[in-house]
Amino acid sequence: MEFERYLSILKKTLSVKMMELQNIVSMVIHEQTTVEESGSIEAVIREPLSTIMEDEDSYLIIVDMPGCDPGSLTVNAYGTIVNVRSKSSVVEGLVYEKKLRLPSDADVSKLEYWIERGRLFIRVPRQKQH
Amino acid sequence: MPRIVREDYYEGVTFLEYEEFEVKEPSFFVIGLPDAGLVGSISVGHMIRELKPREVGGIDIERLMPPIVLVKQGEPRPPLRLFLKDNILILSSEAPIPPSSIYPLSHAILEYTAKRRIDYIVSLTGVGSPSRIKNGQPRVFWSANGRRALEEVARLGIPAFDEGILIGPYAIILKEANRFLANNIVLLVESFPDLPDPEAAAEVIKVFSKLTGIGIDVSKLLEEAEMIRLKTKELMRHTARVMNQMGKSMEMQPSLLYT
Repeated sequence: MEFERYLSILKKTLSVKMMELQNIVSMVIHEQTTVEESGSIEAVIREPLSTIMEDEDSYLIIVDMPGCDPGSLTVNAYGTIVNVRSKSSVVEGLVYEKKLRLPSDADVSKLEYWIERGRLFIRVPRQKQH
Repeated sequence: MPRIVREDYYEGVTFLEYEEFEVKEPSFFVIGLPDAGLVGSISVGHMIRELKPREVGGIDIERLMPPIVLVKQGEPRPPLRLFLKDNILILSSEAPIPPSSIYPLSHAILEYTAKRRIDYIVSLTGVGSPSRIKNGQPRVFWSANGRRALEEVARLGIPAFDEGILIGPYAIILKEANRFLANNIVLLVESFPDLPDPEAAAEVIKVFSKLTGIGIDVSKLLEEAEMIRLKTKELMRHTARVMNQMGKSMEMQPSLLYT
């Protein structure tokens, strides 16, 4: 009897652990998925071309996203990483996605960005060295 | 492949001609190769669309990387093609020129123009510049070699490329032009270094129009600029890699000498 009691406890614990693992796996898969629904067509994710220029006070990043739909544009920054994502208004289902790593003296908290003719300009000031 | 009527071989570079042709005077040989901002490629691509020249030949380079062949209506063509319209001979390339082919190709172009008695070689190129963003309109500069070339640029009303470094096939052609008794005009436009730049290409076409007196409308090029950038992305990516290999970034650095 003792043995069966332990076995049922073990089964319960294992099933809870399995559920937790499944949740983790599905979360990870969801985060990493590169396919999303856009109408009935699956989105194609493309990494846009980009260039970085610098002067004494700031870095200027230009991300080339021809036909980019400004309404869907998101620019997120944390640490020295800037994430850019936007849908294309010209090619159906095309999504631009780019992760940019900036030099360590970039101050992303004061980041500003604007769009001109499908080119995204991101200006990031440099932290003053003491 | 169209029937070849003549072949000229210069150290690994072969000029092919599909017909007997004469380039009318004053003759211009326009060179548009993939480089900074793809200015050369985009501008000659637009000229070919607007002027509707006929394809009269091509250039084949041994061991060109990537090993590509262009196919048109099922038939192969070399990746570098020659087009002719009256007094304008146009060279267009589908792939960037690898560093190992730059010297042979530049010398072959010079020898070919000497043999064909071409009056002017006109190179169209972008020069990566931070002021491309500050100035709304990209500025065009000239650099030239040869007495007649210098006379021609003087009447264009654009500034000389005051000081800087040029790297690539255009640099070799410019430097060696006088040894081949050639007249070379390089039109350089401020552009993004590694993003396709149709707006800069439009500016350089305007100056080329003035130089040759042939009107070329650029409105279509500007209208379709975003589509062109979308189409040329992969060529730009590959070109940027080749430019890195040959140290193109040195162009952005001012010369060390003060004289």
